[in-house]
Amino acid sequence: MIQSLYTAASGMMVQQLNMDTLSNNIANMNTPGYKSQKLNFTDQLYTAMVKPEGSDAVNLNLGHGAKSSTTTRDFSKGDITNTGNALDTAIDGDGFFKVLSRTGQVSYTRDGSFDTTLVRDNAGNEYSMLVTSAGDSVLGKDGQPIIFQSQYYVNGNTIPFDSNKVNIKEDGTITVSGQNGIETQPIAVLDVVNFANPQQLNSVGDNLYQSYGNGLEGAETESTGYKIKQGAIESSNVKLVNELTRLITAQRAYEISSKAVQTSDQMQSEANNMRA
Amino acid sequence: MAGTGMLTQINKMDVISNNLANVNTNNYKEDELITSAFHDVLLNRLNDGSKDNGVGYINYGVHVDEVKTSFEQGPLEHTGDNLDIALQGQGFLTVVTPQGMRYIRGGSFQVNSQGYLSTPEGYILMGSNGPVQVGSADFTVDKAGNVATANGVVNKLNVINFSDTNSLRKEGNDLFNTTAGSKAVPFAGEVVQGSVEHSNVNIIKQMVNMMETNRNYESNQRVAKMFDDSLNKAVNDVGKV
Repeated sequence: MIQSLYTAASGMMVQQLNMDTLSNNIANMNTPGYKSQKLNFTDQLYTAMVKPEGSDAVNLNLGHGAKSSTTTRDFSKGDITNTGNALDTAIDGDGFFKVLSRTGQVSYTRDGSFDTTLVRDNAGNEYSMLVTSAGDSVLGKDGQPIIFQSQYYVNGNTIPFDSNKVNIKEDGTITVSGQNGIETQPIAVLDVVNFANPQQLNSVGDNLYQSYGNGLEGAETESTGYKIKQGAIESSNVKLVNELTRLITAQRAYEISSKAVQTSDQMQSEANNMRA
Repeated sequence: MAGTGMLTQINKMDVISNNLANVNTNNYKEDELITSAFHDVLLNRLNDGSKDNGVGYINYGVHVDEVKTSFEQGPLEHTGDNLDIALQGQGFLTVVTPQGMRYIRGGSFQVNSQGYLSTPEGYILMGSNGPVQVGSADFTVDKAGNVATANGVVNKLNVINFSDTNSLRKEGNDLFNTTAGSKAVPFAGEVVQGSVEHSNVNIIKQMVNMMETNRNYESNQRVAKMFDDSLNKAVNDVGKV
């Protein structure tokens, strides 16, 4: 009797985890660059029941319930919506932006809602640095943070830096425009990298992914076949209809396992009352 | 005898519980416990004087006989995810585990760091051309199981069917193992990419079985109680002055 109680309880616990994952997806419906998570469950180990009168070679395996095996992230594309902000970028294709935090930690993100922040170097010169909304600097293909001078000189003209006048081309090249359509030389190129198995990346919050350091995600390679869209953001890829349908299924599965718990309990109490 | 009845109902309840706990587990196949009676034993009359002593046959109760797994097709849900592969029709995909070849109905696969198609636990899918290596999630699988990447058809999934599915044993993690009696036969169904197969547990059947098991348990308990009362009378009341 105890076994079926624990088996049914495992079913309920798994559905609880399922609900937690689904609620997280729904809560992040409007988070830019969010990738929906899916909980996979499998059945638990099987043990053989004892059959009297010797054992014939038949199946006597009893399962021990369900357990969650992994959470997988669905890396399909979210819709790209225009925002009109010069520093908002979206990757139309596969890959992640590479960002560096102040502690030196390298992270990856699909969230391209960038901004600039003023930094001062030891000599007292002021620069603007391209950062994410959390403040991590965005890296270019040369592996360095993307820095803008306070002004640029092109053909004798002075172009002061204006964050609204930044151009980001489809391949990630960044320039700054001035008056009369004058444009600077390429200042940097946005680095977009990809992995063979992005499922193995650790999501740490703030729309960031980090490597666990065990190499299971594959080597970091330069992504190909993508286009950078300036003035747009990739919205989350959560499909509300799917999440709500799964929520209903999870609730009913929870309920049904609870019926099994109740019945096991009742049978136990009958056994206890044999000598009433 | 009532005791064996109760013990068997407990085992039945365990199997039903497992089915219900896995009602939402993809690729799960429903189990059913078959019970059978102990061998019949001939009852003999004692010292009756008649030539034929046999009264009749009785058996000493019931015991678990077999767990039968139902391999009925579960409902397929289209997810659109390239990495979800399911089978329509009876059959199994082959994976390599540290314990040897195992078989699964399908699942949500991943591309591991070497580019091989594997289950979330890391077991690599086998094809006729060796382990299935796809490089990235950009691959297609057609109805016959041919795996094609940007370089064309690279492999064909090893999909096997078994003539006697009763010879398969579940091992957990959706894996099936073969036993000595398993014979492979060709797969006659379709491979469906972009879909998952839901559990084939029939909730109504399980609920009805659960109610029946509960009542059988109760009946057996009553019988046991009656024996107890009879024994009580025999021990305490017979010959009482």
